[in-house]
Amino acid sequence: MVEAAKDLVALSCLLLDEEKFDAYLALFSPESRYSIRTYSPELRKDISMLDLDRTELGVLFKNLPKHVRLPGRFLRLANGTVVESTGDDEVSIATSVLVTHTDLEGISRVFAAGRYRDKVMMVDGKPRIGEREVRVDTRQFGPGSHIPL
Amino acid sequence: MSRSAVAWTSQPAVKPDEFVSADIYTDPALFREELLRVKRATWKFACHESEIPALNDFRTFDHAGVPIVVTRSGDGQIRAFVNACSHRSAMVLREPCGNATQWTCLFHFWTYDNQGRCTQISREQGYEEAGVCKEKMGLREVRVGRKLGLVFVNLDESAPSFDEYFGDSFENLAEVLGTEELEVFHYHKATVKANWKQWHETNMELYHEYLHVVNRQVAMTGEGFFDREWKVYPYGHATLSPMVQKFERMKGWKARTDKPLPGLGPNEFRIVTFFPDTTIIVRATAMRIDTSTPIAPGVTLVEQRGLGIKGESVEDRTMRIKHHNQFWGPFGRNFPEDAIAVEAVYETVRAGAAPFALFARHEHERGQDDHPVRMFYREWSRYMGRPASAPAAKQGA
Repeated sequence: MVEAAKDLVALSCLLLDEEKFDAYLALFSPESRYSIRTYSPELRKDISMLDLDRTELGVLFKNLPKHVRLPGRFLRLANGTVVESTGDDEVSIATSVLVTHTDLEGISRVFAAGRYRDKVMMVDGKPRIGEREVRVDTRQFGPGSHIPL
Repeated sequence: MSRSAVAWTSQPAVKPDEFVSADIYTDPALFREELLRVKRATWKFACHESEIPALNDFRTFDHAGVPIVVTRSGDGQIRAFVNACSHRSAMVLREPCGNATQWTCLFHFWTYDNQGRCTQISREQGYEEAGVCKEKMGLREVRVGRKLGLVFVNLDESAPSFDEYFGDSFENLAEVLGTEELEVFHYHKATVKANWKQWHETNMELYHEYLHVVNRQVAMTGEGFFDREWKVYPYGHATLSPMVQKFERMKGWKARTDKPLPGLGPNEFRIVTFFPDTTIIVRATAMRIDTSTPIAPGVTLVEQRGLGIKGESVEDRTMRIKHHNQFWGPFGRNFPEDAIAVEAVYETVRAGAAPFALFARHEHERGQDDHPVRMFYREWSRYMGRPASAPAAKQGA
Protein backbone atom coordinates (compact mmCIF):
# COMPACT_ATOMS: atom_id res chain seq x y z
CA MET A 1 0.00 0.00 0.00
CA VAL A 2 2.79 2.41 0.90
CA GLU A 3 4.66 1.74 -2.32
CA ALA A 4 1.44 2.07 -4.29
CA ALA A 5 0.80 5.41 -2.61
CA LYS A 6 4.28 6.64 -3.45
CA ASP A 7 3.77 5.63 -7.07
CA LEU A 8 0.45 7.43 -7.07
CA VAL A 9 2.06 10.67 -5.89
CA ALA A 10 4.72 10.40 -8.57
CA LEU A 11 2.12 9.74 -11.22
CA SER A 12 0.01 12.68 -10.06
CA CYS A 13 3.01 14.97 -10.56
CA LEU A 14 3.70 13.64 -14.02
CA LEU A 15 0.10 13.94 -15.17
CA LEU A 16 -0.30 17.47 -13.86
CA ASP A 17 3.02 18.52 -15.38
CA GLU A 18 1.82 17.22 -18.71
CA GLU A 19 -1.58 18.85 -18.24
CA LYS A 20 -3.39 15.54 -18.63
CA PHE A 21 -6.15 16.80 -16.43
CA ASP A 22 -8.68 14.03 -16.94
CA ALA A 23 -6.12 11.38 -16.08
CA TYR A 24 -4.98 13.43 -13.08
CA LEU A 25 -8.54 13.79 -11.85
CA ALA A 26 -9.05 10.06 -12.21
CA LEU A 27 -6.43 9.54 -9.50
CA PHE A 28 -8.81 11.10 -6.96
CA SER A 29 -11.57 9.17 -5.25
CA PRO A 30 -15.16 10.31 -5.84
CA GLU A 31 -15.41 11.94 -2.41
CA SER A 32 -11.96 13.50 -2.45
CA ARG A 33 -10.83 17.02 -1.66
CA TYR A 34 -7.93 19.09 -2.89
CA SER A 35 -6.62 22.14 -1.03
CA ILE A 36 -3.69 24.53 -0.92
CA ARG A 37 -2.96 25.99 2.50
CA THR A 38 -0.25 27.84 4.30
CA TYR A 39 0.45 29.53 7.58
CA SER A 40 0.31 33.31 7.41
CA PRO A 41 2.76 34.94 9.81
CA GLU A 42 1.01 38.23 9.05
CA LEU A 43 -2.31 36.94 10.40
CA ARG A 44 -0.88 34.35 12.78
CA LYS A 45 -3.19 31.67 11.42
CA ASP A 46 -3.64 29.23 8.59
CA ILE A 47 -5.12 30.47 5.37
CA SER A 48 -6.70 28.61 2.50
CA MET A 49 -5.78 29.49 -1.06
CA LEU A 50 -7.83 26.79 -2.76
CA ASP A 51 -10.22 24.17 -1.40
CA LEU A 52 -12.20 22.09 -3.86
CA ASP A 53 -14.07 18.84 -3.97
CA ARG A 54 -13.50 16.52 -6.89
CA THR A 55 -16.36 17.95 -8.92
CA GLU A 56 -15.12 21.49 -8.41
CA LEU A 57 -11.60 20.44 -9.34
CA GLY A 58 -12.98 18.96 -12.54
CA VAL A 59 -14.80 22.21 -13.32
CA LEU A 60 -11.61 24.15 -12.73
CA PHE A 61 -9.83 21.99 -15.30
CA LYS A 62 -12.68 22.27 -17.79
CA ASN A 63 -12.60 26.05 -17.56
CA LEU A 64 -8.82 26.33 -17.96
CA PRO A 65 -8.79 26.86 -21.75
CA LYS A 66 -10.91 29.99 -21.29
CA HIS A 67 -8.38 31.67 -18.99
CA VAL A 68 -5.35 33.79 -19.80
CA ARG A 69 -2.67 31.66 -18.17
CA LEU A 70 0.94 32.08 -17.23
CA PRO A 71 2.89 31.01 -20.33
CA GLY A 72 5.39 28.19 -19.89
CA ARG A 73 5.21 24.95 -17.97
CA PHE A 74 5.43 23.63 -14.46
CA LEU A 75 7.50 20.74 -13.20
CA ARG A 76 6.73 19.06 -9.87
CA LEU A 77 9.62 17.40 -8.09
CA ALA A 78 8.30 15.22 -5.28
CA ASN A 79 10.36 13.00 -3.05
CA GLY A 80 11.21 12.28 0.55
CA THR A 81 7.92 10.59 1.26
CA VAL A 82 7.21 9.94 4.92
CA VAL A 83 4.47 7.59 6.05
CA GLU A 84 2.42 9.26 8.75
CA SER A 85 -0.11 6.52 9.44
CA THR A 86 -1.39 3.32 7.92
CA GLY A 87 -4.63 1.43 8.10
CA ASP A 88 -6.01 -1.61 6.36
CA ASP A 89 -7.05 0.27 3.25
CA GLU A 90 -5.65 3.73 3.82
CA VAL A 91 -2.28 5.38 4.24
CA SER A 92 -1.40 8.95 5.08
CA ILE A 93 1.83 10.17 3.54
CA ALA A 94 3.71 13.44 3.33
CA THR A 95 5.89 14.17 0.33
CA SER A 96 8.19 17.14 -0.10
CA VAL A 97 7.48 18.94 -3.35
CA LEU A 98 9.22 21.65 -5.29
CA VAL A 99 7.37 23.19 -8.23
CA THR A 100 9.43 24.92 -10.87
CA HIS A 101 8.15 27.11 -13.66
CA THR A 102 9.97 27.36 -16.97
CA ASP A 103 8.97 30.32 -19.10
CA LEU A 104 8.89 30.55 -22.87
CA GLU A 105 12.51 31.74 -22.93
CA GLY A 106 13.58 28.57 -21.13
CA ILE A 107 14.29 30.26 -17.83
CA SER A 108 13.37 28.09 -14.85
CA ARG A 109 12.70 29.32 -11.36
CA VAL A 110 11.24 27.89 -8.20
CA PHE A 111 7.54 28.62 -8.17
CA ALA A 112 6.55 26.89 -4.94
CA ALA A 113 7.97 24.77 -2.15
CA GLY A 114 5.94 22.67 0.22
CA ARG A 115 4.55 19.25 0.95
CA TYR A 116 1.79 17.08 -0.37
CA ARG A 117 -0.11 15.63 2.54
CA ASP A 118 -2.11 12.82 1.01
CA LYS A 119 -4.60 10.29 2.26
CA VAL A 120 -4.48 7.41 -0.15
CA MET A 121 -7.12 4.70 -0.11
CA MET A 122 -8.10 1.71 -2.16
CA VAL A 123 -11.09 2.27 -4.43
CA ASP A 124 -12.22 -0.67 -6.51
CA GLY A 125 -8.88 -2.28 -5.90
CA LYS A 126 -6.87 0.74 -7.03
CA PRO A 127 -5.04 3.32 -4.93
CA ARG A 128 -6.73 6.72 -5.11
CA ILE A 129 -6.17 10.08 -3.45
CA GLY A 130 -8.90 10.64 -0.91
CA GLU A 131 -7.53 13.96 0.26
CA ARG A 132 -4.63 16.10 -0.88
CA GLU A 133 -3.54 19.13 1.07
CA VAL A 134 -0.71 21.03 -0.54
CA ARG A 135 0.94 22.65 2.42
CA VAL A 136 3.11 25.40 0.99
CA ASP A 137 5.99 27.28 2.55
CA THR A 138 5.94 29.66 -0.40
CA ARG A 139 3.52 32.54 0.07
CA GLN A 140 4.43 34.70 -2.89
CA PHE A 141 3.72 33.18 -6.28
CA GLY A 142 4.33 36.16 -8.55
CA PRO A 143 1.38 36.33 -10.90
CA GLY A 144 -0.04 33.13 -9.45
CA SER A 145 -1.41 30.18 -11.36
CA HIS A 146 -4.70 28.88 -12.66
CA ILE A 147 -3.37 25.32 -12.39
CA PRO A 148 -3.15 23.67 -8.96
CA LEU A 149 0.19 22.66 -7.56
CA MET B 1 -3.05 50.62 -41.60
CA SER B 2 0.16 50.25 -39.70
CA ARG B 3 2.09 53.28 -38.45
CA SER B 4 5.58 54.59 -39.09
CA ALA B 5 8.07 55.17 -36.28
CA VAL B 6 7.30 58.88 -36.36
CA ALA B 7 3.58 58.29 -36.13
CA TRP B 8 4.06 55.68 -33.40
CA THR B 9 6.14 57.99 -31.24
CA SER B 10 4.14 61.16 -31.88
CA GLN B 11 1.74 62.21 -29.17
CA PRO B 12 -1.69 60.70 -29.73
CA ALA B 13 -4.14 63.07 -31.42
CA VAL B 14 -6.38 63.17 -28.37
CA LYS B 15 -6.71 65.58 -25.48
CA PRO B 16 -3.72 65.72 -23.10
CA ASP B 17 -5.66 64.03 -20.30
CA GLU B 18 -6.67 61.15 -22.56
CA PHE B 19 -3.24 59.56 -22.64
CA VAL B 20 -0.17 59.22 -20.45
CA SER B 21 3.48 58.99 -21.32
CA ALA B 22 5.03 55.59 -20.63
CA ASP B 23 7.83 57.48 -18.89
CA ILE B 24 5.61 57.74 -15.83
CA TYR B 25 5.92 53.96 -15.51
CA THR B 26 9.60 53.55 -16.25
CA ASP B 27 11.64 56.65 -15.49
CA PRO B 28 13.74 56.07 -12.34
CA ALA B 29 13.90 59.77 -11.47
CA LEU B 30 10.15 60.14 -11.76
CA PHE B 31 9.75 57.02 -9.65
CA ARG B 32 11.86 58.45 -6.85
CA GLU B 33 10.01 61.75 -7.10
CA GLU B 34 6.56 60.21 -6.94
CA LEU B 35 7.51 58.22 -3.84
CA LEU B 36 8.06 61.56 -2.13
CA ARG B 37 5.41 63.70 -3.78
CA VAL B 38 2.56 61.22 -4.19
CA LYS B 39 3.01 58.15 -2.04
CA ARG B 40 4.45 59.76 1.05
CA ALA B 41 2.07 62.73 0.79
CA THR B 42 -1.19 60.76 0.69
CA TRP B 43 -3.10 58.51 3.05
CA LYS B 44 -1.97 54.91 2.76
CA PHE B 45 -4.02 51.87 3.77
CA ALA B 46 -2.04 50.11 6.49
CA CYS B 47 -4.16 47.26 7.84
CA HIS B 48 -7.54 46.27 9.14
CA GLU B 49 -8.09 46.77 12.86
CA SER B 50 -8.67 43.03 13.25
CA GLU B 51 -4.97 42.52 12.50
CA ILE B 52 -4.13 44.26 15.76
CA PRO B 53 -7.07 43.21 17.94
CA ALA B 54 -5.37 43.15 21.35
CA LEU B 55 -3.58 45.80 23.35
CA ASN B 56 0.11 45.90 22.41
CA ASP B 57 -0.44 44.12 19.08
CA PHE B 58 1.61 45.50 16.22
CA ARG B 59 1.79 45.07 12.47
CA THR B 60 4.71 46.13 10.28
CA PHE B 61 4.84 46.93 6.60
CA ASP B 62 6.69 48.96 4.00
CA HIS B 63 5.20 52.18 2.72
CA ALA B 64 7.00 53.73 -0.23
CA GLY B 65 10.34 52.51 1.06
CA VAL B 66 9.65 53.52 4.64
CA PRO B 67 9.24 50.73 7.20
CA ILE B 68 6.19 51.42 9.32
CA VAL B 69 4.82 49.85 12.48
CA VAL B 70 1.17 50.25 13.41
CA THR B 71 0.27 49.31 16.95
CA ARG B 72 -2.61 49.27 19.36
CA SER B 73 -0.72 50.84 22.19
CA GLY B 74 -1.19 49.88 25.80
CA ASP B 75 -3.63 52.78 26.27
CA GLY B 76 -5.83 51.43 23.46
CA GLN B 77 -4.93 54.11 20.92
CA ILE B 78 -3.79 53.03 17.48
CA ARG B 79 -0.50 54.68 16.62
CA ALA B 80 2.06 54.39 13.87
CA PHE B 81 5.79 55.03 13.79
CA VAL B 82 8.65 54.80 11.37
CA ASN B 83 10.13 51.43 12.26
CA ALA B 84 13.70 52.69 12.58
CA CYS B 85 15.83 53.08 15.67
CA SER B 86 16.71 56.64 16.63
CA HIS B 87 20.33 55.57 17.11
CA ARG B 88 21.74 53.96 13.95
CA SER B 89 18.42 53.52 12.10
CA ALA B 90 18.25 49.72 12.32
CA MET B 91 14.79 48.31 11.79
CA VAL B 92 13.45 47.77 15.30
CA LEU B 93 10.63 45.31 14.67
CA ARG B 94 11.46 42.75 12.03
CA GLU B 95 8.43 40.48 12.38
CA PRO B 96 5.28 41.09 10.29
CA CYS B 97 3.24 41.20 13.49
CA GLY B 98 3.45 40.52 17.20
CA ASN B 99 2.55 41.68 20.67
CA ALA B 100 4.94 43.64 22.86
CA THR B 101 4.91 46.57 25.23
CA GLN B 102 8.61 47.31 24.71
CA TRP B 103 10.47 47.20 21.43
CA THR B 104 14.21 46.62 21.64
CA CYS B 105 16.54 47.29 18.74
CA LEU B 106 18.77 44.29 18.10
CA PHE B 107 21.83 46.41 17.40
CA HIS B 108 22.61 48.20 20.68
CA PHE B 109 19.53 47.41 22.78
CA TRP B 110 17.95 50.85 22.60
CA THR B 111 14.36 50.25 23.68
CA TYR B 112 11.03 52.00 23.03
CA ASP B 113 7.54 51.58 24.41
CA ASN B 114 4.63 51.24 22.04
CA GLN B 115 3.78 54.89 22.43
CA GLY B 116 7.06 55.73 20.73
CA ARG B 117 8.96 56.81 23.83
CA CYS B 118 12.57 55.79 24.17
CA THR B 119 12.74 53.91 27.46
CA GLN B 120 16.30 52.65 27.47
CA ILE B 121 19.62 53.72 26.04
CA SER B 122 22.31 51.22 26.90
CA ARG B 123 24.93 52.92 29.13
CA GLU B 124 23.21 56.25 28.57
CA GLN B 125 25.80 58.18 30.55
CA GLY B 126 28.17 57.96 27.59
CA TYR B 127 25.92 60.40 25.75
CA GLU B 128 25.79 63.05 28.48
CA GLU B 129 28.51 65.17 26.87
CA ALA B 130 26.64 65.16 23.54
CA GLY B 131 23.31 65.92 25.15
CA VAL B 132 21.68 62.74 23.86
CA CYS B 133 19.10 61.29 26.24
CA LYS B 134 16.01 59.10 26.21
CA GLU B 135 13.66 62.06 26.35
CA LYS B 136 14.90 63.31 22.96
CA MET B 137 15.24 59.97 21.21
CA GLY B 138 11.67 58.77 20.71
CA LEU B 139 10.52 57.13 17.49
CA ARG B 140 9.24 59.21 14.59
CA GLU B 141 5.44 59.14 14.89
CA VAL B 142 3.27 58.91 11.79
CA ARG B 143 -0.25 60.25 11.38
CA VAL B 144 -3.04 57.67 11.67
CA GLY B 145 -6.60 57.81 10.37
CA ARG B 146 -9.30 55.20 10.97
CA LYS B 147 -12.66 54.54 9.42
CA LEU B 148 -14.91 51.49 9.36
CA GLY B 149 -12.14 49.29 10.72
CA LEU B 150 -9.59 50.42 8.15
CA VAL B 151 -6.35 51.96 9.38
CA PHE B 152 -4.49 54.45 7.21
CA VAL B 153 -1.22 56.30 7.76
CA ASN B 154 0.24 59.46 6.32
CA LEU B 155 3.91 60.39 6.45
CA ASP B 156 3.26 64.01 5.51
CA GLU B 157 2.45 66.16 8.50
CA SER B 158 1.15 68.96 6.26
CA ALA B 159 -1.14 66.74 4.17
CA PRO B 160 -4.91 67.25 4.29
CA SER B 161 -6.67 65.71 7.26
CA PHE B 162 -7.98 62.15 6.98
CA ASP B 163 -11.60 63.36 6.92
CA GLU B 164 -10.94 66.01 4.30
CA TYR B 165 -8.95 63.61 2.12
CA PHE B 166 -11.54 60.84 2.03
CA GLY B 167 -14.69 62.96 2.32
CA ASP B 168 -17.75 60.87 1.37
CA SER B 169 -15.80 58.28 -0.59
CA PHE B 170 -16.64 55.49 1.86
CA GLU B 171 -20.39 55.88 1.32
CA ASN B 172 -20.76 52.66 -0.69
CA LEU B 173 -18.87 50.76 2.00
CA ALA B 174 -20.47 52.16 5.15
CA GLU B 175 -22.88 49.28 5.67
CA VAL B 176 -20.54 46.62 4.33
CA LEU B 177 -17.71 47.54 6.66
CA GLY B 178 -19.57 49.16 9.50
CA THR B 179 -22.54 46.97 10.38
CA GLU B 180 -20.82 43.88 11.73
CA GLU B 181 -17.33 43.44 13.11
CA LEU B 182 -15.14 42.08 10.34
CA GLU B 183 -11.85 40.25 10.40
CA VAL B 184 -9.18 39.41 7.87
CA PHE B 185 -9.08 35.72 6.93
CA HIS B 186 -6.83 35.92 3.91
CA TYR B 187 -3.59 37.79 3.32
CA HIS B 188 -1.54 37.39 0.20
CA LYS B 189 1.44 39.26 -1.23
CA ALA B 190 2.55 39.13 -4.83
CA THR B 191 5.47 40.78 -6.54
CA VAL B 192 4.34 41.87 -9.97
CA LYS B 193 6.74 42.98 -12.70
CA ALA B 194 4.95 46.19 -13.58
CA ASN B 195 4.63 49.74 -12.31
CA TRP B 196 2.39 50.34 -9.29
CA LYS B 197 0.14 52.68 -11.27
CA GLN B 198 -0.41 50.03 -13.92
CA TRP B 199 -1.61 47.70 -11.21
CA HIS B 200 -3.96 50.32 -9.82
CA GLU B 201 -5.23 51.08 -13.33
CA THR B 202 -6.70 47.57 -13.44
CA ASN B 203 -8.97 48.58 -10.61
CA MET B 204 -10.24 51.65 -12.45
CA GLU B 205 -10.05 50.82 -16.15
CA LEU B 206 -12.91 48.35 -16.23
CA TYR B 207 -12.81 48.12 -20.02
CA HIS B 208 -10.26 45.41 -19.22
CA GLU B 209 -12.99 43.14 -17.94
CA TYR B 210 -12.82 41.48 -21.35
CA LEU B 211 -9.61 39.92 -20.02
CA HIS B 212 -11.49 37.78 -17.50
CA VAL B 213 -13.70 34.95 -18.65
CA VAL B 214 -15.36 35.08 -15.26
CA ASN B 215 -16.30 38.73 -15.73
CA ARG B 216 -17.45 38.11 -19.26
CA GLN B 217 -19.82 35.48 -17.99
CA VAL B 218 -20.99 36.68 -14.60
CA ALA B 219 -20.88 40.44 -15.08
CA MET B 220 -20.89 41.56 -18.68
CA THR B 221 -23.99 39.55 -19.46
CA GLY B 222 -25.73 41.01 -16.43
CA GLU B 223 -28.46 43.57 -16.66
CA GLY B 224 -27.18 47.12 -16.50
CA PHE B 225 -23.51 46.21 -16.71
CA PHE B 226 -22.71 48.95 -19.21
CA ASP B 227 -24.97 51.45 -17.46
CA ARG B 228 -23.16 51.53 -14.14
CA GLU B 229 -21.99 55.06 -13.37
CA TRP B 230 -18.73 56.21 -11.85
CA LYS B 231 -18.91 58.72 -9.06
CA VAL B 232 -15.71 60.57 -8.33
CA TYR B 233 -14.69 62.39 -5.18
CA PRO B 234 -12.15 65.09 -4.38
CA TYR B 235 -8.58 63.81 -4.02
CA GLY B 236 -8.99 61.13 -6.66
CA HIS B 237 -11.27 58.49 -5.17
CA ALA B 238 -14.08 56.84 -7.11
CA THR B 239 -16.90 54.35 -6.81
CA LEU B 240 -19.11 52.61 -9.30
CA SER B 241 -22.84 52.28 -8.81
CA PRO B 242 -23.68 48.80 -7.53
CA MET B 243 -24.94 46.09 -9.84
CA VAL B 244 -26.23 42.56 -9.59
CA GLN B 245 -24.06 39.91 -11.15
CA LYS B 246 -24.89 36.36 -12.18
CA PHE B 247 -22.22 34.25 -10.53
CA GLU B 248 -24.08 31.09 -11.48
CA ARG B 249 -23.35 31.80 -15.13
CA MET B 250 -19.78 30.63 -14.62
CA LYS B 251 -19.81 26.92 -15.24
CA GLY B 252 -19.80 25.05 -11.94
CA TRP B 253 -20.36 28.15 -9.82
CA LYS B 254 -23.37 29.02 -7.72
CA ALA B 255 -25.36 32.19 -7.17
CA ARG B 256 -24.31 34.28 -4.21
CA THR B 257 -27.74 34.77 -2.77
CA ASP B 258 -27.21 33.46 0.76
CA LYS B 259 -25.38 35.39 3.45
CA PRO B 260 -24.21 38.40 1.44
CA LEU B 261 -22.06 40.82 3.38
CA PRO B 262 -23.97 43.50 5.35
CA GLY B 263 -25.84 46.04 3.28
CA LEU B 264 -25.62 44.05 0.09
CA GLY B 265 -28.34 42.38 -1.85
CA PRO B 266 -27.92 38.91 -3.37
CA ASN B 267 -25.22 38.78 -6.04
CA GLU B 268 -24.41 42.47 -5.57
CA PHE B 269 -21.10 43.93 -6.69
CA ARG B 270 -19.43 47.10 -5.45
CA ILE B 271 -16.07 48.72 -5.99
CA VAL B 272 -14.40 51.73 -4.39
CA THR B 273 -10.94 52.95 -5.36
CA PHE B 274 -8.92 55.25 -3.15
CA PHE B 275 -6.14 57.43 -4.51
CA PRO B 276 -3.42 56.50 -4.99
CA ASP B 277 -3.23 52.73 -4.55
CA THR B 278 -6.04 51.01 -2.66
CA THR B 279 -9.21 49.37 -3.91
CA ILE B 280 -12.00 47.50 -2.17
CA ILE B 281 -14.12 45.13 -4.21
CA VAL B 282 -17.16 43.38 -2.82
CA ARG B 283 -18.76 40.47 -4.64
CA ALA B 284 -21.87 39.79 -2.58
CA THR B 285 -20.52 37.26 -0.09
CA ALA B 286 -16.81 38.02 -0.38
CA MET B 287 -14.64 41.09 -0.41
CA ARG B 288 -11.04 41.99 -0.80
CA ILE B 289 -8.84 44.98 -0.05
CA ASP B 290 -6.10 45.52 -2.58
CA THR B 291 -3.17 47.84 -2.01
CA SER B 292 0.26 48.13 -3.53
CA THR B 293 3.75 49.27 -2.65
CA PRO B 294 6.23 50.37 -5.30
CA ILE B 295 9.56 48.54 -5.14
CA ALA B 296 11.09 49.84 -8.38
CA PRO B 297 9.66 51.41 -11.53
CA GLY B 298 8.86 47.95 -12.87
CA VAL B 299 8.37 46.05 -9.63
CA THR B 300 5.31 46.32 -7.41
CA LEU B 301 4.37 44.54 -4.24
CA VAL B 302 0.65 43.84 -4.23
CA GLU B 303 -1.10 42.99 -0.97
CA GLN B 304 -4.58 41.54 -0.86
CA ARG B 305 -6.78 40.81 2.11
CA GLY B 306 -10.03 38.90 2.29
CA LEU B 307 -12.49 39.67 5.08
CA GLY B 308 -15.35 37.86 6.77
CA ILE B 309 -17.70 38.51 9.64
CA LYS B 310 -16.12 37.94 13.01
CA GLY B 311 -17.80 35.11 14.89
CA GLU B 312 -19.69 33.74 11.90
CA SER B 313 -20.25 30.00 11.70
CA VAL B 314 -17.63 27.67 10.28
CA GLU B 315 -20.02 26.93 7.44
CA ASP B 316 -20.44 30.61 6.56
CA ARG B 317 -16.73 31.29 6.81
CA THR B 318 -15.96 28.32 4.59
CA MET B 319 -18.39 29.66 2.01
CA ARG B 320 -16.85 33.13 2.16
CA ILE B 321 -13.32 31.78 1.78
CA LYS B 322 -14.39 29.67 -1.18
CA HIS B 323 -16.04 32.65 -2.86
CA HIS B 324 -13.01 34.82 -2.15
CA ASN B 325 -10.66 32.25 -3.63
CA GLN B 326 -12.75 31.84 -6.75
CA PHE B 327 -11.66 35.32 -7.84
CA TRP B 328 -8.65 36.28 -5.76
CA GLY B 329 -5.52 34.95 -4.17
CA PRO B 330 -2.66 33.37 -6.12
CA PHE B 331 -4.87 30.52 -7.34
CA GLY B 332 -7.99 32.58 -7.99
CA ARG B 333 -9.38 32.89 -11.49
CA ASN B 334 -8.93 36.67 -11.86
CA PHE B 335 -5.82 37.65 -9.92
CA PRO B 336 -3.33 35.84 -12.19
CA GLU B 337 -4.98 37.33 -15.28
CA ASP B 338 -4.60 40.88 -13.99
CA ALA B 339 -0.97 40.22 -13.10
CA ILE B 340 -0.18 38.61 -16.44
CA ALA B 341 -1.84 41.51 -18.28
CA VAL B 342 0.03 44.31 -16.53
CA GLU B 343 3.32 42.42 -16.88
CA ALA B 344 2.62 42.14 -20.61
CA VAL B 345 2.20 45.92 -20.73
CA TYR B 346 5.39 46.55 -18.83
CA GLU B 347 7.32 44.33 -21.24
CA THR B 348 6.69 46.84 -24.02
CA VAL B 349 7.00 50.09 -22.11
CA ARG B 350 10.11 49.25 -20.08
CA ALA B 351 12.53 50.21 -22.86
CA GLY B 352 10.32 52.68 -24.68
CA ALA B 353 8.94 50.38 -27.35
CA ALA B 354 5.49 51.70 -26.62
CA PRO B 355 5.58 55.37 -25.64
CA PHE B 356 1.99 56.02 -24.55
CA ALA B 357 -1.04 54.51 -22.86
CA LEU B 358 -4.45 55.61 -24.08
CA PHE B 359 -7.28 56.43 -21.69
CA ALA B 360 -9.63 58.06 -24.16
CA ARG B 361 -12.84 56.09 -23.70
CA HIS B 362 -15.88 58.27 -23.08
CA GLU B 363 -19.17 56.61 -22.21
CA HIS B 364 -20.90 59.28 -20.17
CA GLU B 365 -18.85 58.24 -17.12
CA ARG B 366 -20.33 54.74 -17.16
CA GLY B 367 -18.60 51.53 -16.19
CA GLN B 368 -16.10 51.19 -19.02
CA ASP B 369 -15.46 54.90 -19.37
CA ASP B 370 -11.84 55.82 -18.60
CA HIS B 371 -13.11 58.66 -16.47
CA PRO B 372 -11.68 57.37 -13.15
CA VAL B 373 -8.26 56.80 -14.73
CA ARG B 374 -8.21 60.32 -16.17
CA MET B 375 -9.24 61.62 -12.77
CA PHE B 376 -6.48 59.56 -11.15
CA TYR B 377 -3.89 61.10 -13.45
CA ARG B 378 -5.23 64.61 -12.93
CA GLU B 379 -4.67 64.05 -9.24
CA TRP B 380 -1.25 62.47 -9.85
CA SER B 381 -0.33 65.46 -12.02
CA ARG B 382 -1.40 67.84 -9.29
CA TYR B 383 0.88 66.15 -6.77
CA MET B 384 3.74 65.83 -9.24
CA GLY B 385 3.42 69.33 -10.71
CA ARG B 386 3.56 67.99 -14.26
CA PRO B 387 1.12 66.36 -16.65
CA ALA B 388 1.19 62.59 -16.93
CA SER B 389 1.08 63.02 -20.70
CA ALA B 390 4.34 65.01 -20.73
CA PRO B 391 6.10 64.37 -17.43
CA ALA B 392 9.48 65.68 -18.60
CA ALA B 393 8.15 69.23 -18.49
CA LYS B 394 7.27 70.49 -15.06
CA GLN B 395 4.22 72.66 -15.01
CA GLY B 396 5.12 76.33 -15.10
CA ALA B 397 8.71 75.62 -16.16
